[in-house]
Amino acid sequence: MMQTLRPLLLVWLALLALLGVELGGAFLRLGHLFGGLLLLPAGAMVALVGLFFMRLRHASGLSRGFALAAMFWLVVLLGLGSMDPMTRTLHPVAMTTYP
Amino acid sequence: MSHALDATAGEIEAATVRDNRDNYLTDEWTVWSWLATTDHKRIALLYFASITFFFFLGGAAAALMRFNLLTPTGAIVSPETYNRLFTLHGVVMVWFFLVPAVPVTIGNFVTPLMIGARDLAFPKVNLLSWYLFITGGAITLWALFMGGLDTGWTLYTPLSSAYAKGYVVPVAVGIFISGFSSIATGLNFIVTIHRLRAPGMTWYRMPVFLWSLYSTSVIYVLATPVLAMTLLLLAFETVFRVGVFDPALGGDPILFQHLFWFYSHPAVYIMILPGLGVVSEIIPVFARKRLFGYKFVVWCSVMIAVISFFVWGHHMFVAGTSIYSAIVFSLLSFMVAVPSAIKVFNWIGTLHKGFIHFDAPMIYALGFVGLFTMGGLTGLFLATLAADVPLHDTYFVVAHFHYIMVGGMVSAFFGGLHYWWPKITGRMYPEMWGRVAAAMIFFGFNLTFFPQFILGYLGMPRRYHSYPPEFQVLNVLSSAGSTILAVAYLMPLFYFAWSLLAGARAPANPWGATGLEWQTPSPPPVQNFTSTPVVTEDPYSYPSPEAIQMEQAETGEARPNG
Ligand code: HEM
Ligand SMILES: [Cu+2]
Repeated sequence: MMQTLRPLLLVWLALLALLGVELGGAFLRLGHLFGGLLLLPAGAMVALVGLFFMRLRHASGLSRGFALAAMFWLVVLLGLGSMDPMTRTLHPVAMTTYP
Repeated sequence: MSHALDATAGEIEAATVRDNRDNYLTDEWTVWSWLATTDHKRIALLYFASITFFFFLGGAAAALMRFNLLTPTGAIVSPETYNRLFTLHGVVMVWFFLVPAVPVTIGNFVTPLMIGARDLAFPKVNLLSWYLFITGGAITLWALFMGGLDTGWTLYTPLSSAYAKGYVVPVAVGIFISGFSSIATGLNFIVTIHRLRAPGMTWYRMPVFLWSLYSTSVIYVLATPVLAMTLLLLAFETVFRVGVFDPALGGDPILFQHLFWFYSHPAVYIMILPGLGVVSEIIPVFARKRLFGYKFVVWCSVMIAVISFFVWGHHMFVAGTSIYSAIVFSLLSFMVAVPSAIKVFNWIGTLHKGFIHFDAPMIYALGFVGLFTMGGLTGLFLATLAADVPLHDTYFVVAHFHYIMVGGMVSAFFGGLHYWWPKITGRMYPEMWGRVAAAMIFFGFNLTFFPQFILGYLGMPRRYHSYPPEFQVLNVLSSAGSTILAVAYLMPLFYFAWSLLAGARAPANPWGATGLEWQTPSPPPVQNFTSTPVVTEDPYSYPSPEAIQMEQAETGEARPNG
């Protein structure tokens, strides 16, 4: 029991730590140029969940295919979705300003 | 050769009709045996009961709206009540009728039968999804009736946030919960289709209906989480005042529409793909012909599911989104029409030179083909940027989606219900009444919704409680059509009830159809099949028209298989 729980517990703690980094990073005011860096801890969290919680390390090709499809759809959501705010001219998106 | 086989099959059938006392309906009689069942067939019936309730509730709201629009000033309700009525109608019809409709009822019942399995892969998850569904439904209904929401089914911000009246968050919670029911159902179908196919049931031997359920399930699983997140963000902003959608807090109001339609455009295909599958089952049976271009039909289902994720921006052409993204979304929207059109050609190819029988399921299916085509083609008008500027938010849009969702999907649902009714209940329905209702639905539908295309074209906006007097004639026509439609939708309720009590006993295969579900008795035994079937043929292996003609010449019979 303990043997199987330990790794999961560690992964969970790692996730919490990454969440802390993410949250703290939001207060750093990295600006538009470096704000994208905050995607790194988020990506690491996705990888941890996929590899350990969803056990994709040992999964069949089919299951991995489905996981990849989910990632692909996420890319579509963010990619096609940011096309609009990035090219809007009539009423440009309010960019967060740093007072 | 096939004659000899038919004779024995006929004898076996006669025997099973007499002895079929031992089936999933008669297995146990207690209420608990229904509420705690894990039999996919019984869960399908639980779902049938629930969505029938939602269908008539949503229908009642629609009837009140059409009644109100008889006069330019609004005949019976106040503007506030009118807003609540269309919200009730939309929320109930979309989330608690159309999104689940065919997969959870017909899909639940026939999927294991079609692939030769004993049940779905996760029977308990199947039951759980029904409980999630009715829990979400109950919460939503409570909120709609106690709070009176007025945002429409789309819940756009800031109407649902800064200017919210009514219980936005409880409605969102109800929809959120029922979303988990969708995910559970989709997961179940995907795993079932991958893992539980009988020996010999290869992918290309599967009935088209299963391909369309599979495509639908992929959308359930991949799109629903985005809706869940969107609703959570909405609740989060409302409760904690975190700026997501509210510009005053640094949010973007159109972001809500992006996220909402990223789910909801694929969801409109959730609301049509299973219907395309049902129709692809019915047409070959009643045309006595192999489905034309099987591989095209099944891959088009998959293509529709994939492309449906790339077009959501066409709902926001005039919402202030960037013109560059609008051009891209317009182009992509045209692309999604291609696989839909290919399917229509395939059905027509199947009908060509077929021996067409106009039984009730077929009348629904043929009506579907015409109405779906009308809905799809007007979608192309709306996907055209310049045309959408005047047409957006008018009755043209209302007519467009009702042609697909009501003329198409609801017809497919009724067609499938009639087609599989003998299998589900073990009784035949009164054929004449079935045909009359089907024809009335087609007529009533067109009378209700065709005038709305013209109204929209003339500029009548949707979601208004009153209108200028010159629009009255078309509105009265539309309301008149809706009374015919209402009567026609109520008719099956009565003759199906009659059929349960007094209908003729159904043989295993009343339509002479191919497919595993017709090889087991009606109604099926608890375990579906006494021994696991082995599949040796392609689907829809009906004899060629030439062979039927030769047979007719020999026997002098006018219509094959009665
Ligand atoms: C041939 C493919 C289709 C195309 C190109 C298409 C295009 C469009 C466009 C451009 C709009 C936005 C109109 C506006 O608000 O100005 C729209 C609205 C809508 N369509 Fe379609 N459509 C298609 C198929 C479908 C299908 C299959 C369904 C449903 C099963 C559907 C349901 C809807 C609904 C519900 C709306 C209105 C949503 C609302 O604002 O409440 N469409 N369609
Ligand atoms: Cu759309």
